[in-house]
Amino acid sequence: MSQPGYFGFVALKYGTRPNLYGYAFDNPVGFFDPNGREVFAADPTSAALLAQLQQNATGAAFYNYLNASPFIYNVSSALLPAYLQREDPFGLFSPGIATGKSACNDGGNITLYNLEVLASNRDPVANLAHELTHAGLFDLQYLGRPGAPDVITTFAPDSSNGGLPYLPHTLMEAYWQGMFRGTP
Amino acid sequence: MARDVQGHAMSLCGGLAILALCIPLPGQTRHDIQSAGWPIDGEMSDSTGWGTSRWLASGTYRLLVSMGGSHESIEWIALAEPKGASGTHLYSIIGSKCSSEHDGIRDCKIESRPLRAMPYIGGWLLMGSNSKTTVDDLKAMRERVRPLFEKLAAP
Repeated sequence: MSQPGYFGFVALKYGTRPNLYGYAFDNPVGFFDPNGREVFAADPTSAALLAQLQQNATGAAFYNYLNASPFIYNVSSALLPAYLQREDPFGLFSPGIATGKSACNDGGNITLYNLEVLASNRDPVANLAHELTHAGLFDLQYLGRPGAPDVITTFAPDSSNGGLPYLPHTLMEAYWQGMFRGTP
Repeated sequence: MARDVQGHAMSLCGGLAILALCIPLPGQTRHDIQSAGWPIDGEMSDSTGWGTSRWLASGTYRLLVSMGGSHESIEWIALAEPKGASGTHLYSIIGSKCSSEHDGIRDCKIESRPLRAMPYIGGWLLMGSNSKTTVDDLKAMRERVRPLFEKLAAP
């Protein structure tokens, strides 16, 4: 269920503090982030899209900012589940600390519904960037790390837990559509 | 003949025709524009409103269309051509159908609809007179996103 007034994510438990060492199973001494990456691709399609994102200078800077986070973000591709068909048919950012599965996933899950994206003649890289923006907004709110990309700082005043009201959300989508020139 | 919420008769297009593109206008209902063949997908809606954003093309001409409003009807629509595009249809339309700028706003009459226009995200934003999203809201958002979109438009 989405929080009324915001979207792009599932409901978050308020008052929950993010666990900065979730990747180490609450033991930052005995474990370590296995490959040093904080943005994981869970499948080949997501890996390919992340690689394409980094071919764009703005996309690469955005990726590098998120990848330097102590939070971990998992990117995966999936078929659009029926219960989300009226929510956000192209992708979803689910904050990790909302799920209770804090280990390895304090940042959150980014799910891409690429079939719907392609079926509507949109650019899947722009769609990835869109969902990563929700992750970036979430990341900035909880960690406040410097050097956030312009798209994050621009929309941060409107954001709560990564979500955005419809007007800035629509403009954020337009920004990435413009960046990647989504093919009609 | 279908009619929109303001009583305007709607043809198959019922909005702004640019080349072979039919662009909805503020005041049209979501239901009517969907019935006219406009794909309402990728919607971003919440308790305050809804929006959608996509590229359209007619031959080599391309147009970025963002629109939003209440859950029933379109309140504003932002149109932008790619930087350096050979066609400048938007400026021609604004020039021929809108008054000169006053306080950043132009009064327009497009397809018999009284609209207001202001520069937005590298193009133009058209809004209806009964928009719940106020001009001040849109202006404030425009000023915030202006640097972002100016960088986007940079060669």
